[in-house]
Amino acid sequence: MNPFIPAHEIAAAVRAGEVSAVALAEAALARIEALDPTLNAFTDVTAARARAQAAAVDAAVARGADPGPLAGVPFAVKNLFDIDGLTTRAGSKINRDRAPAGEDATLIRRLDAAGAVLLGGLNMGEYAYDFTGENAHDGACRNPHDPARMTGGSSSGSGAATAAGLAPISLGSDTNGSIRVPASLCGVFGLKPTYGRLSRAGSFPFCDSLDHLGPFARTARDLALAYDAMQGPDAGDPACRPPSSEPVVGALARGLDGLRVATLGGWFAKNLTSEAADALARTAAALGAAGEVELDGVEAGRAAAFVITNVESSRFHLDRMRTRIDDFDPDTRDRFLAGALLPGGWYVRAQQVRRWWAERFATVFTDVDVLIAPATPSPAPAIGQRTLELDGAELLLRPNLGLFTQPVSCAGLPVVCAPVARAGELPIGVQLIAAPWREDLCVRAAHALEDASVAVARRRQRL
Amino acid sequence: MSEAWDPDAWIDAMAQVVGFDVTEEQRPGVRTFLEIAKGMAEQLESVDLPDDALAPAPVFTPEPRS
Repeated sequence: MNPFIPAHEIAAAVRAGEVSAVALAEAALARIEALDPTLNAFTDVTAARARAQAAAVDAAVARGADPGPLAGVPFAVKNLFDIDGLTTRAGSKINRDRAPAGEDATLIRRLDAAGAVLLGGLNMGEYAYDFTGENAHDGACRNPHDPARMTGGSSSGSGAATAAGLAPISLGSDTNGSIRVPASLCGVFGLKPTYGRLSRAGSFPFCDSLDHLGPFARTARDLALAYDAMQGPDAGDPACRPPSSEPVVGALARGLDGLRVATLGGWFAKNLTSEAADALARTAAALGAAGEVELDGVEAGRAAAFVITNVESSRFHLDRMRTRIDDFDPDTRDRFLAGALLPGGWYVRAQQVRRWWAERFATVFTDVDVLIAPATPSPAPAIGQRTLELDGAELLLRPNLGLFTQPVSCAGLPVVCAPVARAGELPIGVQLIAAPWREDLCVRAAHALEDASVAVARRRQRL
Repeated sequence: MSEAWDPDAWIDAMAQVVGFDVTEEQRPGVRTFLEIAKGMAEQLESVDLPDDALAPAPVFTPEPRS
């Protein structure tokens, strides 16, 4: 069984009775057993649950019931999602002392209702404060395209699992780039929806003002299918206030028709390796980008995200810092400690600047539907690498992998990260950004890039 | 403020207020991130916000004001 078959083809075959969901689940579990010792993408494998869910899907097909739009599609989730019966570790050692979750996170329940089959929980950077995929407690997650390289983070296992054909759909979280960075470095599609679109109920928070949840997939259609299955309001998340459920799968067929596309310049055109610059140029050509749009104030927008994240997350973990600081990952510990020491005025100013920045960004969308921007400054660095050379300067790697993603999520905008590397090269992605609540435009642009053979979730032949 | 900035003095003062100790092992990292945060705060000050840029409501929505 080809492990790289897209989710929509899996679902169609299961719905037609051509393949059993149980056989698919068994194949996925066997593949995890074979490859995960190398990749370290999974922290929990829910084999018994997967078999039971898959059997229920097959039973529904056998009795002529609708098994759902994602019938039999295996999926896995970053381990900050509650999974009934498992402890939600959020990449940490400390959380392992918590009681097991009593029910699934909302988004898992919605995928479950759509017929998808949960395979387990995925590795991540501690408490999601990470762009690398390294983790002192669970070990580094490794890039399927080169296991000596980073996956990116913090949704490291999500990027790796979907890139390696372990799970055609996975879920992650994105506060400053934690879906888009691993999607870029692992070469898959990732969607960070509009802030407030998808419910975060039943997920372990990082920074409430900026946390988003979203899917990874190997095709734009799969991304859209998973996203559509998870939409809808939820009283369990006060920030989840979508205008309405707005399915996007139907929009894919419209292609580029009428789409006004431009490339973001200025901040987003600097600090790029040649691979990242080439990715942008090829994307702009394929989408017929009309030119460059330059925004002032990007540095301030990024700074707002930095300060809000640092202060909110440190306050959230303050009791854990007071009592169990030695149990933190050394790579997150000092950032959390520093964040607890910042003046309140900095935080209030950051929230004001965030509003200013979001309004400024939104004005662009009167003339443009989709903006193209780099997702990461470079392809995947080596595991253990601490600095990144960009435009001749040596910069700290950890904060700067999110150089281009952080200002966009600060404004709450929907973004698809699409994989656009050339064949034979390491993956790299681009961001396709639209106005608030216009996820449909992002997935249309991603699908158009696929049609042009520019966006491809390539597989590594050895896998 | 910049010339008088002493991150170690800030760490010592604020850590006591917040209720934890910063060990010698932790201090270089904390200092680094404090200095990065201070640079970010200076970026925030560079924005010319009008007086009616109110402190935001607890729930953020990304729509522009109409």
